Amino acid sequence: MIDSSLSSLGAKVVLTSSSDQNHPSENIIDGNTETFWISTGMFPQEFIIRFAEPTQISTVTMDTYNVKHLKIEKNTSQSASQFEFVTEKELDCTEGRLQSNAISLNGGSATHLRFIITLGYDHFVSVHRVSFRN
Amino acid sequence: MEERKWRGFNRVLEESRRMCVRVSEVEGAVRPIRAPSPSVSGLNLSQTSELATEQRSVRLWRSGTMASQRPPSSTGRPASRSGSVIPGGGRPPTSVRPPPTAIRVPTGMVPGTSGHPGMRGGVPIPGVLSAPIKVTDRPVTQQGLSGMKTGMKGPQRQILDKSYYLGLLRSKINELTTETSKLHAEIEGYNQENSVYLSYEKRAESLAAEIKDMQGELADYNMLVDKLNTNTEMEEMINDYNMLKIQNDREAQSIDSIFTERREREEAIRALEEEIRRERRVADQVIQAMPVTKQEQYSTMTASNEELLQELAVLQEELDILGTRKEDFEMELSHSQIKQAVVRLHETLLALEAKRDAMEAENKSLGSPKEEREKLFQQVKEDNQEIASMDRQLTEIKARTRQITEDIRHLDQDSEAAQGECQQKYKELKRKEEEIDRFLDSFEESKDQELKKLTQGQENVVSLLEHCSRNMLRLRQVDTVTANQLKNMQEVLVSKETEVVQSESTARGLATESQRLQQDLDKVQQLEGKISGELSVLKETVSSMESELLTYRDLDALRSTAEQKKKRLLEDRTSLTQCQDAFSQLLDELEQKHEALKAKLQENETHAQLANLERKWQHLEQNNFVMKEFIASKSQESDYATVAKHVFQQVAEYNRSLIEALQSNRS
Repeated sequence: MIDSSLSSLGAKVVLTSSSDQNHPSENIIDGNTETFWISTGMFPQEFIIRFAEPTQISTVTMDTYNVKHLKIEKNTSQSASQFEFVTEKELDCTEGRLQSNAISLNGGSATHLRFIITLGYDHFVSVHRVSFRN
Repeated sequence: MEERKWRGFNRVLEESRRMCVRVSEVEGAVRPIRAPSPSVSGLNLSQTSELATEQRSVRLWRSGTMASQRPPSSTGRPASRSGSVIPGGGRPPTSVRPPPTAIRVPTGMVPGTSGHPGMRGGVPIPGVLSAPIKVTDRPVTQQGLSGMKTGMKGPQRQILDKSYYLGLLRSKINELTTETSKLHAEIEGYNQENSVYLSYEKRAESLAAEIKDMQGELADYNMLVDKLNTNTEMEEMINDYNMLKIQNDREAQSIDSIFTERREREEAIRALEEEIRRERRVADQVIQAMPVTKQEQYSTMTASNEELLQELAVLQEELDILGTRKEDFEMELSHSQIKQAVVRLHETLLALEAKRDAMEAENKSLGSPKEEREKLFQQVKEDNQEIASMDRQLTEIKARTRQITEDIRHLDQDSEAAQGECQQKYKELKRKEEEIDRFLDSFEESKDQELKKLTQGQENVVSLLEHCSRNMLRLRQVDTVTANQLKNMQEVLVSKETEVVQSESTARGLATESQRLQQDLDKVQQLEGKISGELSVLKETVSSMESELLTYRDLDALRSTAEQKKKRLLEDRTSLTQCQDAFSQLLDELEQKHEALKAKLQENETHAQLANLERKWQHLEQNNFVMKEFIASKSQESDYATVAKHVFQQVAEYNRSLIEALQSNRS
């Protein structure tokens, strides 16, 4: 049971479909809900987190805002390709506070996790924190 | 006229030529038979030539005939001998050829012939060339040499008996008669021509008059044309015409009046003449009625009167002559300066002579010198007395005038004094009032001034009193001072004075120096301000540099930070490369997917159909759009609604106005 920042575990965000200087992608995995990554408009948006080694992941906890539909993929190879679908989820709309959801990944190890935000409640979505539980 | 003259000249020439021909004929008749007679036909041929050459040829021919009057024996001689007849005639042998062969006779170029007076070149040589070969008889050069007549007509009659000569004479006589008849006819013709000429002259005169009339008419027409060309109006023309008519009438009237006047004058003259005659008759009657002695006296008197009149006329003439002479002389005189000078000198001479005469007369009237002297003395005395009396009178008059002027002044003063006492008083009062006013006006100021003066005076008094007291003290001291001491003191004083002067100069110098120094000080102060500003800046820089020094002194830290930075950057790089890898991989994947989908799509029939349909749709839509546009444009073109509306409106308005007009008419 590790509920710390992913960055300290050697995880990295290797891909984001949007980039804002003031809100870099590192803010996703720094374990702080005050900092966030924000999309720059349009859907779908996605980001990929890479782990240093294949890791067993059971649940993903996400603090986001304005995300409507989320899809998660994973792979076990070193390269960021050949993802296989894991799960998808419809999130509720929350006004004035973060959406905090725990998503179970059905076990299994992974080196890359791909989060695809296919729809949002607004033009822009933000991801504040992503944490895993073994 | 010119032409007529020319014709007359021609006629004369022709006549003379004919006469020449006749003479030649006669001469030829007299000539021996064997001599080649000058052919008349040749002459006749030459008649067609020009007149001038004709005349010359005639002359030449004559000279030729003169030469051919020699005995016939010499004519038959060979040319060489006959050539010797001409003195110094060294003819060239070419000219000696017999005439048939002498196609061209070098007439003008014969050398040596110039010695013959009145002979031109190419003088016909008597004998063989006795035929009058003239320049004009020469063959027509333009048509070859066929025109030459030789003058030799084959063999002539050999036996010359009486009958032959008779025949010859007869024939000649016949010729003469024909000639005379011809001349008569000519004379008649000339007479006729003369009469015709007279008639022509008359006609010419009449024609000239006609021409003049015509010219006048032409001038009129020209004027008319001018008027037409210049577009003069009818009224102007009429005006001109009227004016001219009036002028003409006036002139005609004046002429008539002049004529009548002249007649009147003539009548008057006649009447006067008659009167004179009557008077004379009366005078004659009177004379006849007088006694005989008186008649004689009268006759003598009349005679003497006539004589005197004649004399008068003569003298008048003389006078006129003299006058003219005088004028001439004056003219001459005016022209020559010397004569003028002479006249001037004469005038001066006359004036001088007159003067001389006058002086001589004076001289005669003068007496002896003593008497003269006495007389002069007396005169001088008288003059002196007169002068003295006049002086006296003058002084008296001056004294009187002075007295009178003084009297006048006194009188003036008296009158002024009498009149102006009141005025003077008034003036004085006024002056006083003014003074008082002025005083009142300037009272405050003057009071202030006076107060100031007072205070000043008080101060002065105080200072003077102090001075006095001081001086009194000094005096007391001075009283004690001896003469020596005084001297010393004086010396000291002098020295002190000099010192004072020096010190004053030094003070002045010092004042200037102090000023300068003050300026320097100001400058220095300014500089100080600047320097302080600079100093603060420098201090700031120093502090900043010191802080920097602190940071820079810690080289390790710097190095570590740099390394950290480097590390971070490297990490960034690695992460970014990873990102890149991830991106590329993802991209590849997506592309593959995309390709697959595309292929799938292509494979799909419905897609193809859809694409075709879409294309068709696009096309149709385009067509639709075009048609719509076309329709719109056409509808716009054929949109008569507005026009119709306008027209209807106008019609309605017109109807309304018509109805109104009708109603107004009815009402």
